[in-house]
Amino acid sequence: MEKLLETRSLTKLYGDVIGVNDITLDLEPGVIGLLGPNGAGKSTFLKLITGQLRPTEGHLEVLGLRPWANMRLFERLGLCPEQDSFYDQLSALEFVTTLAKISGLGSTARSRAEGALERVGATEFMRRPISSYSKGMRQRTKIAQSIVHDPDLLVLDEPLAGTDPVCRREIMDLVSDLGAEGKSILVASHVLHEVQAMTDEFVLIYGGRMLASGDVGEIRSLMNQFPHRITIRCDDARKLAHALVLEFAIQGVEIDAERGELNVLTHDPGRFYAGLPRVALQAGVAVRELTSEDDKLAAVFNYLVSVQ
Amino acid sequence: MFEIYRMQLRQILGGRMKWLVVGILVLPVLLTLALVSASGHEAIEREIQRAVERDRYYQEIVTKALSTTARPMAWEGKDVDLLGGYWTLTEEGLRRWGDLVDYEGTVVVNEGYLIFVNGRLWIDESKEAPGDRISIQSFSGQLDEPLRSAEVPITMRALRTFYLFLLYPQAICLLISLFYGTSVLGHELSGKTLTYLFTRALPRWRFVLGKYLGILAALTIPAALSLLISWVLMGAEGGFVTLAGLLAGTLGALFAYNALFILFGFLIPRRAMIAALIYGVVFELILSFIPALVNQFTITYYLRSIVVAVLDVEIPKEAVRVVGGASPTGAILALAGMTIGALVLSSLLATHREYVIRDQA
Repeated sequence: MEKLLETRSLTKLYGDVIGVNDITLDLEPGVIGLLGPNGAGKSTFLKLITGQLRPTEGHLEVLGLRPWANMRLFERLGLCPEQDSFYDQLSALEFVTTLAKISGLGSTARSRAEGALERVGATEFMRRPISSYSKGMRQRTKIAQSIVHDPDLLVLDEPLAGTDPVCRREIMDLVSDLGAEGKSILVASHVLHEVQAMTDEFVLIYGGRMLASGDVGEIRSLMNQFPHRITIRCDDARKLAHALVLEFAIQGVEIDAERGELNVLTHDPGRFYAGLPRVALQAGVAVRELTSEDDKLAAVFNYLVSVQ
Repeated sequence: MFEIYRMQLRQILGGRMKWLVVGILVLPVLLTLALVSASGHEAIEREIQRAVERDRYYQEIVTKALSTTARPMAWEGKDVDLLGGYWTLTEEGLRRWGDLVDYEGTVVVNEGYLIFVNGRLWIDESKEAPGDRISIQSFSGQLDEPLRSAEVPITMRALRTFYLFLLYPQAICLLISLFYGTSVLGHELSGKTLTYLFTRALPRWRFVLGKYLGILAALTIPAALSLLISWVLMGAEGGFVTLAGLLAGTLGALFAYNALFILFGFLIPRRAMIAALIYGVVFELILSFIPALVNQFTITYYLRSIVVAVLDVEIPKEAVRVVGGASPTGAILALAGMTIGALVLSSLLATHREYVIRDQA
């Protein structure tokens, strides 16, 4: 079976600035998370893999091909780019159909586009112009164009950025399904627990370097040293804090009753998010806002960097 | 490639964008209309008519003067460069030439080559140029060829044709290509949509060619229509030969300028429009008039060559090197060469250079 990815001392410089620094990595086909805080070199790494950039030094093969401007790779590659950009006057159906035709799907392009849009749950709005879409609809559209030509490798750059919980869940399920069908998928994100739901295999990038690759267990144990901090704004912070402490394993709670804010420290944000609505409902507290600083990953990276 | 073509066509003519094209092409028609209906228009026509008659009158005088045998004459003057000065006939000379030069006449005859009459230079091209110094003598006998003025002759038709040339190939086509040509890549970069196209199995030359043909499909017919209306408003001078010349100039300008400015987009992606604007002014509008080989590298030179060929006036040799001296076939070949060259270079750049969306801030 051909390797998904093989790099040897892969380096990319922009003038004097280092984008990616000396990465050596072998990946077998599967679903892989590419993790790193913003500005860590993730984007540069993905652009090298997807043939948009030419390596400055080192060796890079994707599906046994050198990616740079390689049409043979592009036939087998689907990319959901990070930027939230479209030809706004088009509808999702027109957009995906056009790109399908450019990928050489010819007369089947339209039906394939409809299929891809249905798969991402976009059938309802796919005939409206993209300019009227919510962030989640746009994200779904971007994913549809990346799978329309049935690629062997799917590269998703921050696919969950700006999406609501329902959309998030559906995209995660879609990635799991595609993975189960035997597609290889690279998911880049700066939020660990998002990617964690999709795969156990990770590559960690920071400062243009690869810090670690492998199983989630190792990373998770590292993560546990840095509890996740979640801020909840609600109409009765004390009451909700009480209910939450009884329900979840929580490392700490700070209450700012005056502003109606509650800071919760937890090691298991996944469980916390899943259970919060039920607990709030039982306690009869209205939750107005839920934010997380997501600085945890950065903390882990800083830790890893200091260890190396 | 067809999809890229269709997208480009839609981008220019789809939605609200089409009003930009309509506006750009209605504007010159309005300008022409204003010019035709302006009160000064007939005065210009009368002035030109007068100039033409004056030319004919002087030509008769000189021809008559040269055919007399009156000699020698008294002259006043000094050695000067050929084109620099002119010579004044003394009173005695005036008396003798009185019936030929009606008032304050100035006549210089130099070996039959250069003749000044009232400060206007005439050339007899059947004679060899005599050198730097003027030796003065009278001239007798008939000329082998008729004399003609060394200045660019003007007729109303030539003036109108040249106006239409300045308006369409030179101004509108240059500007419109500047806008659409440079934004072929720029639009995809600034809109951050290039990623969708450059990570698909689409050979880059098809991207370039599709975009190029899309622009032409969107612009040629409206531009030709606008030209046709302006030409009719101007009195449909010169019939279909003139129209064909102007049309060839307009289409040639769209073909060549768009290809060139697409290349600018790939050469300097983030400063393409300003670079193209500077190029347009410096090379196409200024250097194209410098007859030192420089102007033969500009697109304008060949466009003008095409239009010169359909003018009803003969442009003197000295001026042809400035205006445009290529034959129509040669001009079309040169324009085609520049167009294909620019498209090939753009395709090579698109294939071998990194064009990538910068990370979001």
